[in-house]
Amino acid sequence: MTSMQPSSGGPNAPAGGTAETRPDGGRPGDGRPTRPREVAWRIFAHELTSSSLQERGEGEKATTHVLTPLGARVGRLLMVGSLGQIERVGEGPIPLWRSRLSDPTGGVSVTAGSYHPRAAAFLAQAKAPVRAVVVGKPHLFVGREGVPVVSVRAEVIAPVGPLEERAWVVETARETLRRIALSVELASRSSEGATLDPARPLPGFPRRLVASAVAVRGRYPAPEPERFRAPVLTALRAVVSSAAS
Amino acid sequence: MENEMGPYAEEPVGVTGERVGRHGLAKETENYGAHPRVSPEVGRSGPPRSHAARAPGSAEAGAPRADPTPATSPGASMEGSPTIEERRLRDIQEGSTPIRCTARVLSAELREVPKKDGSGRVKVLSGLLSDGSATMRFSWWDPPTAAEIERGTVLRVTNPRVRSWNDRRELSFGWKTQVELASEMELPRLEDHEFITRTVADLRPGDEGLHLLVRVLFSEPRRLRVGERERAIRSGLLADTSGRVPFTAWTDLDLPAGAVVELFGAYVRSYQGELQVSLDERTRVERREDSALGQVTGPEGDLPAEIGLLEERAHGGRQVIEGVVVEVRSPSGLVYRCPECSRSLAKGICREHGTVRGEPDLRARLVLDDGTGTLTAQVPRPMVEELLGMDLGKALEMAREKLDAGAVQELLVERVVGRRVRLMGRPVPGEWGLTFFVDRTLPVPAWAEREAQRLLDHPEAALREDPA
Ligand SMILES: [Zn+2]
Repeated sequence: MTSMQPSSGGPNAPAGGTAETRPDGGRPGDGRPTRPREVAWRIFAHELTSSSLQERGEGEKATTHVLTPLGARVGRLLMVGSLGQIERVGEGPIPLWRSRLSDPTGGVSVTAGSYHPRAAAFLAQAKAPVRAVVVGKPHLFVGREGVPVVSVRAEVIAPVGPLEERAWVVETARETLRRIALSVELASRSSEGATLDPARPLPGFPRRLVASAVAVRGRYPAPEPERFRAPVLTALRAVVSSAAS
Repeated sequence: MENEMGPYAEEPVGVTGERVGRHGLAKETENYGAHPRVSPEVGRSGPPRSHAARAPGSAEAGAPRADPTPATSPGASMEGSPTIEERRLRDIQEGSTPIRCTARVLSAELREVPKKDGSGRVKVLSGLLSDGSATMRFSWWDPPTAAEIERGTVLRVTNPRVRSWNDRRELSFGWKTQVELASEMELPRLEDHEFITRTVADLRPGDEGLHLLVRVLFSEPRRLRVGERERAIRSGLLADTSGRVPFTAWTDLDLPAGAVVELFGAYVRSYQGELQVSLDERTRVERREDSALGQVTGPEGDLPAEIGLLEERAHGGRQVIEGVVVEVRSPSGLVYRCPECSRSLAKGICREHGTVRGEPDLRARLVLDDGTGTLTAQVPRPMVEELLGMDLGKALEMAREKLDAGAVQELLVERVVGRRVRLMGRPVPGEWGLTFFVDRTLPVPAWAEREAQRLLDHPEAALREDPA
């Protein structure tokens, strides 16, 4: 550890200077992703927990995607809200922590375990209720009575201030309104018998969103996109009135 | 940020094939132009020249045919000749009367081309000249071997031929042309009315001799290493009501943030496809605090640009983005850089310069996600210090105490992962997605309620505004 003398310039000096291991437990190396990183979808609990479909990826590192009725194919998501009572679940040396995140539209179960020690440590130490942002992966399992239940395995949990929380709520509202508009657009096209050329951009809609919606289209027999609008508008009104107070 | 000065540092300096010191000229030029790492802008300034070199009156072998204009015998004194007109490069027209201009060499390259009649080859020195009013290509046929012409050299050219290629004018120096070395002081001084007034939105690469009325949004002094020496420069962001543009002042001009200024003698350069206003010691700066431009604000209150949109389309210029930091990529935190090229070292080794004595620095590579896309933000030291809440000295101390340089990256992870950050910088597409070269961290402004109201009033406002 003599290599930590910053003024000594020998060949060993910088070896400790450039951290070669990732603190999040990931692989060391050049920091290049092996494939495109999944974007964290901004999604409210209502849309997420209305999902009943999942696509399991194949292979070792495959990502599981939850398909929402608004056409989001979600491998990673970001949610913001209040974390309620935190409990330690499971026995054994490696604890798993669980809480419930409530946002303006509903709630979803959030867990954090040893794969993401920082997120687990946050839940271990936090005093509920705590306002937080959660980035993680959604999972869907079919519970008793055949009811599908979605939960989130957290990769990152961090405390959040009111200003940032409002920004995330508005961002999520905007993204959800886009998905509603796109679902309506696609439904009207298919009722007219028109097909969508995925190579041609659809004005107003990001390409990533169009690709996802086209992939999910037809999987839900009756997606009813308009039923997701009211909770979004409620969330927006809450932002406007909370800012005024 | 190893390539921050890339285009300037890497661009080869065009120098004539044979460099022969004459009358101490070589010594004088050592300090600028000749150094391979000097920037073109830095090269614009330099010691005054007083030595004269004349083009020889050799036959114009293979060169374009003689001008129809009256010949002036080479070597003869031009003073007082009534037929010669002093011209700015900007005002030079094809086929005009005999002219004289004084301009600085921005680049020069010596080549050999076959003669038209096939009887061997002829040397031609060609490159770019600038006199502060315009930049123009020149070709010097059969230049004197003894003359040392390189970036920064000021030339007085009498009776060049003016040619036109695709609407671009060029100067050709043949046997009727007299070329002398001149000094910095002899470059034309532009009168106020000669500067072209432009708005930020109308700037084009290569524009010179500009007059701008702008507000300085950001401004910070920087050090630029030129060979062994350090030079104080300044960079930041300018704006008028039409747009914003980054600037670099190749000398530390009085341009504090917030000031409204008139700039006389600005020029425009392109850097990685992005326009940049360049200023140097010949640029005049005048304060205009009374101007309404004092109201022009920076990007503090804007809605951030969507990363997904930046991914889909190439966007030049400065952008403001906001997103959650989802990852800190190695190497981040405390790094050691090569003193030669500033690359960060891997195990003490620079891939260009081998084993070197590393200089400590702070950097961060943050993966940012805004829900529409992701990018890797390259954050230089001052902003890493802000994010860490400690400066480089403290970071070194901490690393020493913990016997682990990785401790700084750990702290960075602690401080930023999961945090919403707002950054101003320059997106550059690459094989591994977008890289965002950060020049500012900004506070997250309270845009949410305004945007919430807009979405409530106009549901269609959720759709992306795709630029036409
Ligand atoms: Zn190096």
